[in-house]
Amino acid sequence: MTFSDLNFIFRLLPIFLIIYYLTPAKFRPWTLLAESLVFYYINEPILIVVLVAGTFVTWCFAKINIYRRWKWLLALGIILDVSLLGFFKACGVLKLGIIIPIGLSYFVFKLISYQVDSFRGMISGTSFIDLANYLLMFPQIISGPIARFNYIIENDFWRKGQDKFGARFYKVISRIEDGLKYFVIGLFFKVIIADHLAILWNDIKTIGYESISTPLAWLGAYTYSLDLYFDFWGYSLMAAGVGIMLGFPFIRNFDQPYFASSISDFYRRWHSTLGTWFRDYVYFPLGGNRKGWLRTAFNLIVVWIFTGIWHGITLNFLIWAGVICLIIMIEKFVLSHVKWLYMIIGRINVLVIIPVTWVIFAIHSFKDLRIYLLRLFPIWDISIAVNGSDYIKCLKSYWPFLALGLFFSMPFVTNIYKKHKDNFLIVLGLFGLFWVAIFSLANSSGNPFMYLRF
Amino acid sequence: MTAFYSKDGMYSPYWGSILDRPILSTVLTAAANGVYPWSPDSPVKKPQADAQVEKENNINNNTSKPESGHNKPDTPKDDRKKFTTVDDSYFEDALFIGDSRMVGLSEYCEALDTRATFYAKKSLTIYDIRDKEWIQSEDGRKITLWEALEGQQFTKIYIMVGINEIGIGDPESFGAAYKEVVDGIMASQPNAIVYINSIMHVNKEKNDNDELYNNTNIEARNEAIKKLADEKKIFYININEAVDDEEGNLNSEWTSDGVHLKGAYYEPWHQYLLGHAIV
Repeated sequence: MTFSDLNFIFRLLPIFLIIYYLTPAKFRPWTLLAESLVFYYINEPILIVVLVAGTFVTWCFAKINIYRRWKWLLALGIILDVSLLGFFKACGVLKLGIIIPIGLSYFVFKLISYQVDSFRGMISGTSFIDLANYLLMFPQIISGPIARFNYIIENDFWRKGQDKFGARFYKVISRIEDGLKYFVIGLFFKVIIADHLAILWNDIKTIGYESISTPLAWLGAYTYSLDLYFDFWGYSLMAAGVGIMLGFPFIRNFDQPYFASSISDFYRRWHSTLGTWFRDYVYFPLGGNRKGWLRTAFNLIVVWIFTGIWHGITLNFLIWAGVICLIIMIEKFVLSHVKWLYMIIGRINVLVIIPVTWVIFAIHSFKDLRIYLLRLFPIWDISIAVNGSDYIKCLKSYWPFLALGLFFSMPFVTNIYKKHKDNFLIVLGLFGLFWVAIFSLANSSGNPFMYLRF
Repeated sequence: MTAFYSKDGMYSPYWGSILDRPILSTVLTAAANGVYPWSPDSPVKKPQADAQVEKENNINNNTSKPESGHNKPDTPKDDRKKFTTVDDSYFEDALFIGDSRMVGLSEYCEALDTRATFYAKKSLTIYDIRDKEWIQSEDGRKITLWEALEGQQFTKIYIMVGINEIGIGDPESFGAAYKEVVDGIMASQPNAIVYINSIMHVNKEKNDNDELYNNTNIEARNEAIKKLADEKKIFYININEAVDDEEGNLNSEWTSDGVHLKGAYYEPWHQYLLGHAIV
């Protein structure tokens, strides 16, 4: 069950919220944990054991290491975490019939983050319930965002306030309203924009890449770029919205990436909780950019190899990561010395190269990828039975979704929203978006999230 | 509440288990099909054959409920026409009617697209062909097939539908609806030969994993429409012979979703039509 499931929206979430807020503040963390376990159990009734065991083992390690500060114990913990993820990923690659528990990689990211932060003295105490909620909380368990541990303790509703009932009630209701706004926007992005663009991307696959025209190949690349963006941004907003409804702060995962000034900047704005995770737990510990350019290049390569492998153990992900890493290095070591050139080429990189890298990301088969790239850049003709007007037909069918995608990608739309989010017209608009999304959901089975098994 | 109140009435086709999904979605799904809370309390629009065409040009049946198998005329075998091979000019006065797979044929087979007329639409069913206004006329209106055929004469009409409606009714009711369409076409286009294309198979992966869209179900329906052929004016052509692999599934190399041919592989179907023509 994902967030864009009618049963989640109209049944599970309201029930969870009611039970959560009826519980006295002191016990709310336990209610949240119970709800998270129920949510995960609905999605994965057997492999829930893996996550519960992982939580327990990590807690035991943390309990010991908070006093001992054994580096080897930290290393052992991290090795165990990575092995856990590696084991399930390998089972998938070797087709052993063992599926990876949903959201395991996000869980492992949090495990490592917790252990390292705890070792660094950034976390005080070893509360089991806080750790369990951090790792298992249902808004983030399936597909992130990858919060840090302090996120969990910044919850006002877990402390008994001095306010009277009326004031407390108002606080809860306005909090839920605030979260609901993010949730509705995310739902609309996911269900109306992303899921419909996914159909166009799928249509292109159905035609077969050798039979698409070059304009359609480019349309496909931009469509997929928007599809992936709104799918994941939409999901992240829904997750953040549910978090807010539960009393947590907003967590940002996307910040207008397609308006980034370079590819380096793009990856600071795209899935930024993953980017900062790699920065803090891989790139910086390796020395970051403080040990000369050669070492910086090496560190970047390590980060991007990990990023590629994390997305999947197929060649296309390594090529995808390799291309991005290479361009980031060119931007960093060459272009950054010529400011005006960097400003121009940086943006071209984002608007042209990023869509091409998403194509590499999307097509797992090397044979198909080669065909698609040759349709994008037809340096030699491998086409069969191409219909030259195919892109016009696709534009005619899908232009509203492409237009919505382009519109909502614009930073000014977000800025206007932020400024006027309590305006009656905006609230009315959101109400409209919600019902449009619900109508669409009721009439389609919906696409599963693309990042679900990563 | 509305949905619950009318669950045995107008919402009955959309009513599912309340454990599976919120009742609200029943109302929304129904609304998408034009059934609103204020709509008259009757289930989905009752299928109606194009009565006028049928009455005026009734050729070989007087019963309102045709039964499959009835229409195979008791004629000597040598009366039957045999397939022969033709060239593309054969399709110049041909009409192709079908679903997305026929759309694909129009888009990726230039030889046919430049010569023949296509009335093809994604997700088209035999019931749509019979009852609905689904063809875009020149003035932008939606019209029925029967209206579209008025004032036009085709001598070859190729039909392929059947995959979309595989979850609706059973092979008999599908065959009966198909017969109504074929009869209507024969009445409207007395000089035409009707080619019933077999419903194209799905590939092995789809066949093995889909409880509905599998080749067993497809074949049950092909058997039903095969019986409509009289081999004088109505012919059944098993295009699966052109697109199947050795195991009798749609060739997996030729499809990416298991259902539709890739653009590059409509040619075998075209060649099969060239080799299975009646002159």
